[in-house]
Amino acid sequence: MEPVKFDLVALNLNTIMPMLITLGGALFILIIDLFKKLDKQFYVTVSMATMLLAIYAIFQINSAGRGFFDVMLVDGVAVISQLIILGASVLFMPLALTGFRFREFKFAEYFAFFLFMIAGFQFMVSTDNLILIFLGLETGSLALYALIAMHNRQKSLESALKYFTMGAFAAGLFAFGSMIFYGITGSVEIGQMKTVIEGNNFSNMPLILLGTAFMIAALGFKLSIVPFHTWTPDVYEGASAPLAGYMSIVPKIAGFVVALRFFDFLAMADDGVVQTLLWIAAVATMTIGNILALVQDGVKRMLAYSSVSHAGFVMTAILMGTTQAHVGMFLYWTLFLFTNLGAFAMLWISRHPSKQFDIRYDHPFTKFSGMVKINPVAAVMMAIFMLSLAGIPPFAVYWGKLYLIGAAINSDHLYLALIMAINSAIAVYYYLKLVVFMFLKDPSQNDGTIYNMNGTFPLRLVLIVAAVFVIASIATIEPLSAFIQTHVVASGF
Amino acid sequence: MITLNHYLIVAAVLFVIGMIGVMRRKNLLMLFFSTEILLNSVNIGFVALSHYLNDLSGQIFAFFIIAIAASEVAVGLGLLILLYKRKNTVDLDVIQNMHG
Amino acid sequence: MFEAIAFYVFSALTIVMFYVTVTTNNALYALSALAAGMIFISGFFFLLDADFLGVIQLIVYSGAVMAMYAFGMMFFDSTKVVKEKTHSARNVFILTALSAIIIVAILTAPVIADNAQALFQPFADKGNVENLGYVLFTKYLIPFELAAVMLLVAMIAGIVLASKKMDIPLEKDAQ
Repeated sequence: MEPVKFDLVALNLNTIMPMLITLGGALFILIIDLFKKLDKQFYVTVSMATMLLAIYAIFQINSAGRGFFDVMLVDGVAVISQLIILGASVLFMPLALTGFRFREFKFAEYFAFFLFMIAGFQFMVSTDNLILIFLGLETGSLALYALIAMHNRQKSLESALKYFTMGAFAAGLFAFGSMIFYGITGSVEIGQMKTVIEGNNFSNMPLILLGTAFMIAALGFKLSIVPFHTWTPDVYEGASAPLAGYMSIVPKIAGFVVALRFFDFLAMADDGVVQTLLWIAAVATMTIGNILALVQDGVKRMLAYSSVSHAGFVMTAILMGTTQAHVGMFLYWTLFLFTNLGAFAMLWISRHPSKQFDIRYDHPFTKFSGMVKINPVAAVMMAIFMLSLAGIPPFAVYWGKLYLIGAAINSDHLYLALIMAINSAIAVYYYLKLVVFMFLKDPSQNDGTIYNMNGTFPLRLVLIVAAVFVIASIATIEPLSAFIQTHVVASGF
Repeated sequence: MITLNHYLIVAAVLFVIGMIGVMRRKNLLMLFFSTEILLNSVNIGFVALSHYLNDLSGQIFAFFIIAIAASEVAVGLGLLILLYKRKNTVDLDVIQNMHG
Repeated sequence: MFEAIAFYVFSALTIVMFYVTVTTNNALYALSALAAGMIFISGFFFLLDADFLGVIQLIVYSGAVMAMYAFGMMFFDSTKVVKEKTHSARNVFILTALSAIIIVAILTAPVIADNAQALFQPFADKGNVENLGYVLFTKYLIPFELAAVMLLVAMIAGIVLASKKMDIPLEKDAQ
């Protein structure tokens, strides 16, 4: 055994620079908190600066490549997903500057957890080593459980516990699935697995299927794929509104990237069993999510089920396996990011510590009835987000749906395209239900201040940014998809 | 003669026992025990595979799984203590407020 | 011969112990059975020449994790027998069927593919600990550091969640 020698350039430090920055920011917050208790404005500023710096560092990675003994893999997919993660975080962070003083923002640890979580998900997307994926997933998830519980209401504790239980179970499934694949291929790296499995022509199919089933289940819990979606509405209902919106985006894009790396070559097997499994999962997810969203009384629960359905929609990209589909997946998720965070931010801005309309829900549909007569600007904004989620042109998510359905047709999945179109049509109903409540019903007896009491300038700014993006998507869609296209093609998906 | 398959069967049996625990338990403390069993059974499989493949990655994976299990315990117990201080129970059915 | 006897003894013991853990209604029994099962698992590791992991299993699981659970249980009233609603027999049947499928799948197929190749063959002249250390601090340096971060997150989360700062009346969080 010779002594270990390596030079720093070969390590390719660039590949972990963005994560180092977020981790540094988190540690900085923790250390500052030891010496001096500062208010949340300071922590929000530090976190924002950290995340913007990390985004800058991502743009500095000009050559896709591996680093640190080939454990890190920063390809185009990793770059895009990191940008989505950090972009969602930048939009989320100002939502902490609320009008009411919520308990969790007094903790410096809240912001440190937030940055740790981002770093965990960043690691998860920029590697093809199952060990690092697992560790990143757990770092992110553990921090997320704490973030949910710190909202400090009875329901948020309950939802944190449910999420934790599901997460721990999913971790077990992930470990077992990785074990099977390690057994088949003798490697824990997805690239190497691909070589071995394709090298012997999928000869070990029963075991591969067993391992795939475990991996679908494990990732399915994180992506809320039916039948592993049962926790989703409860957890979203218990978590604070912006965090629920954040959870519907960031952990899922990280999960999608892992699913993309893992299932891409399995779905292309000749007998198509894995592809069929994914087909069933995706169709069931979008349909059942939609149907359950129809019958909800709380807007937040409705949005939770609708996000399940959107996840199913994007799952289809993985089973199609064409470049167009993969581009569509990231495009869809970018557009969904702004729309969904905007919708949840609207709920957050109208949040009141006491429940005035319903004994159970903070945001029942009746709360928004006649909103256009009381607070027209807010009502119009909410309507824009709802129309975008419903996929009505020319708002953001419409383009994503168009792109994905187009990809389905181009890859000869005609039934799938049909199901996707039908599901989009069903979804219009429940999104428009809220719009009908806002525009056509009579106002309930309130003076309208409730829609705004939690609002401050930073919250409104986030809303404006999201709304502008949603409206302007007709102009930005071309350069955005071109940007994603170059990165996805460069990483070979 | 003990082969790799023997070890893997033990791992699978233990994993199934853990799964039964996760499905059956409503007491959160016991539920956490079951998730520990899941991770432990996987460790046996990894180490056995590592031995028969003559490759160290499996042992490394098992090593990190131990770290993950330990940190899950810390967070889980933190949540559980918080719950117990509030509600004086660790039963999942009792705290169930959200349905539908 | 020795390996076979040890294997069967340890398998029987772990299976019984973990079975007790998931079925008993007494939290203390469950805890003790779990700790015993984890100790027996380290036996497998020693059988498979993974000495380092065997020791880690004893120290971390049977030592630290179990001690942590024991401390946690001091908060709860652990001596009382817990009444739990048990699920219908259908779930159990599904689980049994599933487990049968898993075991058959593993039994019938040779697991390791022919063209699988080991990436990190241990150096024959070095011990298990040295070999592991070599791989851990070269190839798996980043996962190792991330594990440190993860443990830090877990530690802070445990402290924050169980601390007095979270002890405020519910629903009076925002004014």
